[in-house]
Amino acid sequence: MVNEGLAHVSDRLLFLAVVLYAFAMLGYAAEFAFGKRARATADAIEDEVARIEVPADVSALALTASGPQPVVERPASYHGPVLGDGTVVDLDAPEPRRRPWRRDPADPGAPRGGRGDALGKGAVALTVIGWGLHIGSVTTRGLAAHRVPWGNMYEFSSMIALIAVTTYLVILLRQPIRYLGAFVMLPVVCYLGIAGTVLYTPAGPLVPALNSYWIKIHVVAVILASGIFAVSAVMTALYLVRSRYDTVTAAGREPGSVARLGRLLPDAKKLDTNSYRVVAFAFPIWTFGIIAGAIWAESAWGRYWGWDPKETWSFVTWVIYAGYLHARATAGWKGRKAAIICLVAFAALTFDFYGVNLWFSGLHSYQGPGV
Amino acid sequence: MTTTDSDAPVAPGDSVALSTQPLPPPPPQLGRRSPWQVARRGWRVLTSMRTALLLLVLLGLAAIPGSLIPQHSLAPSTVLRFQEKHPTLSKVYDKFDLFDVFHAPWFAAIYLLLFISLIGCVIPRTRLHLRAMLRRPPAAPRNLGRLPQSARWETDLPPDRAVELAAKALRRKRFRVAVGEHSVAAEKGYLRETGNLLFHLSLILLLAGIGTGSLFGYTGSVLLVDGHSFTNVAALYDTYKPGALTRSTSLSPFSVHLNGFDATYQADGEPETFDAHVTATTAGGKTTSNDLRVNHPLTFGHARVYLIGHGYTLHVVLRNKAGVVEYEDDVPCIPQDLTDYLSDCVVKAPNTGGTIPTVLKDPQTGQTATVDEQLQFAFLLDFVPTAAVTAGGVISTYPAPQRPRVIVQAYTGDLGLETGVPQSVYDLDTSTLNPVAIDLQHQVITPGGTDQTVALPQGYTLDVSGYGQWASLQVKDDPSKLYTLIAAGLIVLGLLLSLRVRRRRVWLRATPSASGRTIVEAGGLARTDADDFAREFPRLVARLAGDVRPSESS
Repeated sequence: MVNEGLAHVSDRLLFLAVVLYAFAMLGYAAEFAFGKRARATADAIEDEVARIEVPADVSALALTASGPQPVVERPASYHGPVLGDGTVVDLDAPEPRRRPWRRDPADPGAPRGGRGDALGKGAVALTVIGWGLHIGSVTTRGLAAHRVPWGNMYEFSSMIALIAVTTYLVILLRQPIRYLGAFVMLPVVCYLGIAGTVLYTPAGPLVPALNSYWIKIHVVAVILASGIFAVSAVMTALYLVRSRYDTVTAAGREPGSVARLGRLLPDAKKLDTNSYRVVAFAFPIWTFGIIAGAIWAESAWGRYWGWDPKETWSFVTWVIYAGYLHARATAGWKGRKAAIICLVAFAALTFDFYGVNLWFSGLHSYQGPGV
Repeated sequence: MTTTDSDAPVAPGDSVALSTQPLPPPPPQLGRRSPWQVARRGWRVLTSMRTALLLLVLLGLAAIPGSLIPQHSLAPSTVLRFQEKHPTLSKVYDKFDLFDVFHAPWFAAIYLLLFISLIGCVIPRTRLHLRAMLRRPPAAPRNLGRLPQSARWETDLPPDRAVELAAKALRRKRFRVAVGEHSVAAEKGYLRETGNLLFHLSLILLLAGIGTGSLFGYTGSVLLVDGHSFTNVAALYDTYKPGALTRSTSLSPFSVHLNGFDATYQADGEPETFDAHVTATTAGGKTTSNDLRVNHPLTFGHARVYLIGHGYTLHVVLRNKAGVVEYEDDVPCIPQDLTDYLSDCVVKAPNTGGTIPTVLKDPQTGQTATVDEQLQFAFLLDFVPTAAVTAGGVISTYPAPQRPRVIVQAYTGDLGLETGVPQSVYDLDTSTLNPVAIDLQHQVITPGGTDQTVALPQGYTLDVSGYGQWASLQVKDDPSKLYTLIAAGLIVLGLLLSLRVRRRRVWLRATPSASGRTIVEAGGLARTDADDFAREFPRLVARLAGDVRPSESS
């Protein structure tokens, strides 16, 4: 029944993917380290540029309005639109092509080239190849077992890691977030390492309770939401580091060893906004996942909600994330407090997946460590 | 409510937070407040967003003990075991309903307060939103240059024409547009608030659906032995839990006959398929053959029938010395372990027709007397589907009956069935019974095999002449299930709208200048997601300015 050859290929592909992710992580980390030097050079160049007089006739300098813009003196003959901050809006400029993955993460304006930049680009390339192999691993696993490749905790973990990497790559297509690379890859590599060793389950058919088309709906939604939440948790943790760095340096003190990382990160507000958006994207998916689970439970166990430990903890997770989204809208709870709620929510999510399976026996305990 | 991540200034009347009321104003002066004032203040506090948030978090926290402490509703036997092990702690837990968290009054109090708070928030806010939708977008502020987003350009078009073209362009961008004298006010993204309200209203609807379902519905379960039938009547259930308002005399009429049960397993003992072959008869006398499987319940009106468990039965026959059958039944065995299906079967045969001399002792005088008591038998039979002999005894190595054996223990004595104290048919208290010595070769027998007969005192014999299967069915009737489902769907829709749609306002003013040209000023305010709007605004300006462009030829 199980195609052993394909199952073997799947295991190999996952191993290769983890190796590539690990190297990508090293690349991102090295870029981080070199980035410091590169930025120091960039500052020097900027100082140099500042001393050069700007020529009077800059009418040709029609700027597109995206990203930080220098204020440009416009000639008296210009009657086109000018934004409140003095930026000239070019009516004929095409939409700028955005290639954020090619830009230095923490400082999009920094000069290209340089060792750090090359390392970062290389790391992105490795991530993409690893991601391809990872997809290959998941696909062959499904083909080997003739079913969806998310039937037990090992497969589930692999899928969540895949979604986390996918989320990172998708955001990278839109925004320069290469700084996230090392911090996403580190948990992904550890997580896949644990999945491939401790949680590993050979390919096999599904137990009857899981054999339903709802496994394609409920479990996919839950995996998607979890993978995306994972990325938001990484961003939130980085936000906390950066905001700590800001507070400490503003007070004129020397930042601690962790807070020092903050110097290399983009500004706190940006991190905070990004992580909020990622949560806001994942939250409806999580909600849908719970509802789909309830519909499935109705047809499998005869009730849509029964406070089974898994149900209880997904509800707790939902409530805390809902609390986070609300907290962002309440003045007194913005910033660090809201960020901590977000991390607590992610902790509840993690517990929902692993704690509940390992410590409680409930209806969600399927083969060995179940889903 | 999930509304904003912007730090943009907010126009008057815009409520960023869910609460319709700003935080209660400080109490006027010292002095007595009338009960009406106190009530009003209480209502304000209850319906403030902070309270709602607190209650939400509290609800999450309150659910946690329900997963940490064994619950009556989920695992009653685990609760009993826990209570035996920790009697003092259990008393404390019981005091706070911690063995039944989800039905505890304090749990209900939290969610009822939360929903009152929600209703208190949502209704006034719905009114505000409806009013906002009927109203024209608010008129342009005096100084557009002071808005977070602004732009300015000149055009040769007269102000009227410029405004007209801009309004047209904004309408094309699906803004709601109000044209004033030489000015345009436009707003977009009302669906955000609509979604927000839809989400919260649907939450209330969902709770109402759950509540009605548990008031009018019922849950029952029944263990059905191969070849037997079940008719949907409250009295025939093994367990039956009606809601407070359920009319138990008129349950959906149907009956189910179990023709057979098939279970298949993988080589490692993991189950592969469960399939109960049933014949269902509905009120009209219509009979259908069905396969009742996990994930595939049968539906009769509101009621649905689920396969939730299975196990083995043993066919047991007790005969007296003359060979007359005194007891015969298919006894259901309860699996002790779902991976190997080693199962316990309890047989209680109080009426055997025989008597047994019994020594009775008077507790007061200490005198003893021998009387003939009714002979009662009890048996503990362990069904081993696939038996293997190890040093520790006989174990089961596979859940399917590949090498079925039965381990026999027999007892005589008073089973206590006449005392009136209720006892479970699946449990046997052997402490007051006398074990019957069984010869070694009959301690483990093969059901239906040549060694199936066990010799008992007074010439009685026990035959385990075969084995079968039982299936346990659960019947659940929830009349409001559909509404609950619709509410759940609307929750997701509302969430998507309230988290994805961005609300923003754009204003435009055209003023003739001394040079004969027209100065156009534009301003924008994002009520949500200021960063995105900062990117959108220049593009919008380019579009508007492009349409309201000076004709270069002139």
